[in-house]
Amino acid sequence: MIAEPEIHGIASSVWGDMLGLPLEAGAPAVAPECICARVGISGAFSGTVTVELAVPLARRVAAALFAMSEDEVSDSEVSDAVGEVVNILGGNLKAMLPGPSALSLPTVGPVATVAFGRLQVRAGMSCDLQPVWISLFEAADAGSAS
Amino acid sequence: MKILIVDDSKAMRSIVLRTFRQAGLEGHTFVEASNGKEALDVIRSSSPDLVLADWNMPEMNGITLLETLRAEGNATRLGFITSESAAETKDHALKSGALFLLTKPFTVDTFKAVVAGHLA
Repeated sequence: MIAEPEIHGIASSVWGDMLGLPLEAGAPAVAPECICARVGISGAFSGTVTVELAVPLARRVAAALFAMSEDEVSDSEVSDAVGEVVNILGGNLKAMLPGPSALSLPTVGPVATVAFGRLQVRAGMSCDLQPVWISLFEAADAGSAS
Repeated sequence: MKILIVDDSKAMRSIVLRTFRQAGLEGHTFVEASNGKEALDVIRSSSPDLVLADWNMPEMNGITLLETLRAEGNATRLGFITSESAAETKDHALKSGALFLLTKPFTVDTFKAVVAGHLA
């Protein structure tokens, strides 16, 4: 089973190699407005990977990916960037789970108020004192036939 | 060389272009497409020398793009730059005729090590 340090390791590579931003383990004790990007996995393992980012941090992530200032990035560019982040995280996590399986296209929106299945692991991190939450859910009906 | 970058994420296409510059791999012309179907049209009409394609995209994914090209006898060179890193995915890509599969995230050094040898 995937654990928090493994998620932190993948996320640190994304933040460091592609965004050039710091990422520390452990989320700060704040609860700002967040946006949520998610990607589905279907196959030998079925579930959902989600990334929740504080809204200002999502804008900063987009600015880093597009090499623009935070004031310049549009809302669609923020969605594109955060969607790409969860796509990368999902692809790397999928490789650590039972396969074969397929990755869906990412979707981005408000933080969901319903669960995506059984929570397997939820890793909290911090980027310049703003929270990053990455979660892996297993589909609720997974394994029911076995 | 004329290089076609295929990714549904504008951010990712921007990163690939920037990484070419950061790696010192300059002197090429670039065209972009946001899915495999668009890419197929570009390849048929303008014959790029190299295609760098994502795997998961709407309309037509990257592996279908590659298999469609090969099925019609088109030998355009293609490498994948994707978040997919599972062994079976890489195996599928290479058996279908891909040059390489570079997994995101990547560093400038990794990008250069994988891509530079295919720019001649």
